[in-house]
Amino acid sequence: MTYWALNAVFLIPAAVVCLLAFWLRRRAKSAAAAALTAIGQSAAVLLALTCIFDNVMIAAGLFSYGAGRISGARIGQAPLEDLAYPLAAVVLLPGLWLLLSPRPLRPRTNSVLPAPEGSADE
Amino acid sequence: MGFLYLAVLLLSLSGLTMLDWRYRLFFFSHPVRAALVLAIGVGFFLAWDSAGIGLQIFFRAETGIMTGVLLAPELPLEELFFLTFLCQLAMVLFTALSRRAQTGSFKPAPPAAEVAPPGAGAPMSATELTPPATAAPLPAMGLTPPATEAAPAPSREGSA
Repeated sequence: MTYWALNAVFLIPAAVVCLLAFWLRRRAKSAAAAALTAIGQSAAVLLALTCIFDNVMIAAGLFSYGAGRISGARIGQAPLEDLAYPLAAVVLLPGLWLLLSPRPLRPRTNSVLPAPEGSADE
Repeated sequence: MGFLYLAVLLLSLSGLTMLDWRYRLFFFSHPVRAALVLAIGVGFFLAWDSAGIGLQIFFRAETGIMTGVLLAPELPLEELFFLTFLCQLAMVLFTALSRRAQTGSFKPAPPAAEVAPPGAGAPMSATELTPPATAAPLPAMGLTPPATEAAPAPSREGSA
């Protein structure tokens, strides 16, 4: 099994958790948009930091990779596959955070008193 | 046997914790929820690491800057702290940037606005001016109350 195949096994469930969190909040459009913006910006920062510090850690000799398991695509010394870790972190953890939100989702029984048309959920 | 890597990780973790404390982002805003997210996240990444080690994708190298304490074959103690750091960094970034996307500022809202008790769903300042005859705010939503047609422009929570 290659590093990419292993990454897929963990990236896909992470993505599912995040999609589920957004699907459950699909009515709270402005809050979901803010969360999506934050995920995108967090990903940019975390991926950039990973490119730098993964190289530092490899240069420090903390770990090495099995030849033949990695694709060979590298950013400096770091295998491209290593970026799957920060990517999963900014997808899975905010997803869990939203799923565990203390704010109850809109109960169905309240549908007898519909919110006025165009009111923004937040 | 060395403690350099562990010390760097602990220093980084304490920096994140100070940011969390200063801006009330993650553990300092919702401790139980944060602990759950962190525990699941670290468990997830430990499983990922263990699978990679089992598949011989990565190896721990012998260096002088790690303690040499192993949690499992090829899995050093430091990795637990690294994964904790990765998860906490992701969540401090996410919570800070979420707040900025929503309020335009990294700073936490004033306590009165943010710590409104759940269930006190009455429209905030509009209550006195226009009794919510038809609004019937949904209780315990903890969300911005829906604006009625009659109500003036909805007041925004503590945002500038």
